[in-house]
Amino acid sequence: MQGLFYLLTLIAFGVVVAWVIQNDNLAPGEPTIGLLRLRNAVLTKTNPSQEQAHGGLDR
Amino acid sequence: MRDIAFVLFMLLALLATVRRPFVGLLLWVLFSIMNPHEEIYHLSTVPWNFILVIVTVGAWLLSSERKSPPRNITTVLIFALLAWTTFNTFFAFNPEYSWIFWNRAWKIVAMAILAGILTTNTMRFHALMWVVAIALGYHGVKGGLFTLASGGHYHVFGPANSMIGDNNSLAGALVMVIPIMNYLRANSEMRAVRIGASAAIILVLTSVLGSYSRGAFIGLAVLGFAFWLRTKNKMMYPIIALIVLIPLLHFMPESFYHRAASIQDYDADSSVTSRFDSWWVAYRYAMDHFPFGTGFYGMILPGVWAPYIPGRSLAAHSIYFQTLGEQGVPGLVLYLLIIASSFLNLQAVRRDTRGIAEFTATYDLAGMLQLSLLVFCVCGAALPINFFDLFFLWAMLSGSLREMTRKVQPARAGIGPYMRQLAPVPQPLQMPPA
Repeated sequence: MQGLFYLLTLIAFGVVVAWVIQNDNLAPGEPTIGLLRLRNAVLTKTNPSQEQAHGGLDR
Repeated sequence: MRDIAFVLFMLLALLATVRRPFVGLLLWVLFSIMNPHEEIYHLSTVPWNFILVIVTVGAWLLSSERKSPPRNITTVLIFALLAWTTFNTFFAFNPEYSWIFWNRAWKIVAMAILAGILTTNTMRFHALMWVVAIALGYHGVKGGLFTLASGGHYHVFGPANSMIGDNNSLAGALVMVIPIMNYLRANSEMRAVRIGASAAIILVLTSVLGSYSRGAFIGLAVLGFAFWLRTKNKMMYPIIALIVLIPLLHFMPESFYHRAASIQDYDADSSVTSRFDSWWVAYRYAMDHFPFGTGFYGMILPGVWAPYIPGRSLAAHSIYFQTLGEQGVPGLVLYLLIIASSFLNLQAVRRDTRGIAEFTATYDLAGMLQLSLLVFCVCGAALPINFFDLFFLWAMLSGSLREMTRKVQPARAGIGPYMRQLAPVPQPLQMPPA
C-alpha cells in the first residue's frame, strides 16, 4: 500500500513535469493548456530572454 | 521494485532538467520536502541530492534562463541573513557542531533563491505550487488515510531525518499547505483536478487532527478565521467547513479531546513550561553574547543551558526564539524583516491584480501565500523550524511574483503587453463648456 502510494506520488510529479514541458513555450497572453490548465489566467512573464526566444512581445 | 521506479524516475527527470532547468528546480523542491530518496531500500546511499543539484545548476548556467534573482528588498534581506548566519557560525558556542547544520541551511536558501530566479511566469508558479502540494500531500494524504484507518488512536509523524519529522512540525507544515491546495482547487479548469484537490484538503485536515498537535490546531483556527475574513462567501464556507469538520471531529477518539483541551492548562503542562524555559535561555544567551547567538542548533547543547538552567537542554521551540538564540539579535531582526517584506510584496501583488480577470489566479495565489505565511508565523511560534524550506521559498516567490505583476500597472493604462481583455482605460475628465 505504502509502495503504491509512493509510486502514485512519483507519477503525479511526472504529470506536473509533462504539463510544464507542454506549456513552457507559450507566449505571454496565451492561456495554458493540458490537464492542469489554469482557469481565468493567461501567461504572464518576467523573463526577457524567453520573450526574445519567442520573438518578443511583438510577434 | 521501489528502487527501480525511483531510478527510472530520476533518469527521466534529470534528462528533462538538461533541456529545462526549471524541471530540476521542481525536483529539488520535491526532494527537500518529501525526501523520496530516503524511502528507497538499496540505493539510498547514492548522493541523489548532489547529482540533482549539479545537473540543475549546470543546466541553468548553460541555458538562456535569467541569472539574477528578483531585485527587491526581500532578496537583499535573505542574502544578508545568509551572510550573517555564516559569520555568526564562526562565533558559535560549538562552531564545529553548528557548521554541520549551516551546511544544510545554506542549501535550503540556495533552493529558494533559484526558485526566485526561475519561477518567471504564471504557469511556472502554478507548477511549483503543484509540486509543493504533492510533496507535502504525500505525507498529509497518507497521514489522513492512516488516521482514518487507525481510528485516530495513533499520532501522525513526518519523514525521519527531516525538519518535519516530529508530529508538531509535520502538522504545522500541513496546515501551511492547505491554502496552496485551495489555490489549486479554485484555479484549475478541469473538474476532476478540482475534486482531487478538495479530497486532498480533507485528508490533510484529517492528518492534522491525527497529529495531536495543539500548535497546529491553533494554526488551523487562525487559518480558518483569516480565510473567512477574506472570502466573499461568508455564509457558504463556514457551512462547508462544518460539513467537513463535524464528522471528522466525531470520528476522533477521547484522547484527542483531552489533548486539545490541555491548551487551556498550559501552566501545568511540562511540555509548555519547558518551551518557556527554552525561550528564556535563548533570550538570555543572545543578550549575554550580543550580537552573536549559539549558532545553528546550539540551543540543544547542555553547555549553553548550564549558566541559566543547569542540567537541562532543549531546542528553542519557536522560530522567533530559535532565531534569537541561534543567530543573535541581528539574525532575528533580519528574519522578521524577511517575514514583513514578504507579506508586503504579496499585498502589493494583490493590490495590483485586484479586479483584473486574467490575473485572478495570481491574485488568489498571493492571497493564499499570505495565509500560508500567516500559518507559519502562528504555528512557528511554538516550533523549532526557522529554516523550514517553505518559508524561504515563499519569501523568494513573493519577490518574484511582485516582479512579475509590476507589468500589470502599465497594462491597466493600455500601454503594456497584456492589453487583451484588461480593465478599460479610464477616460480623462472633460471640462464642461464655459
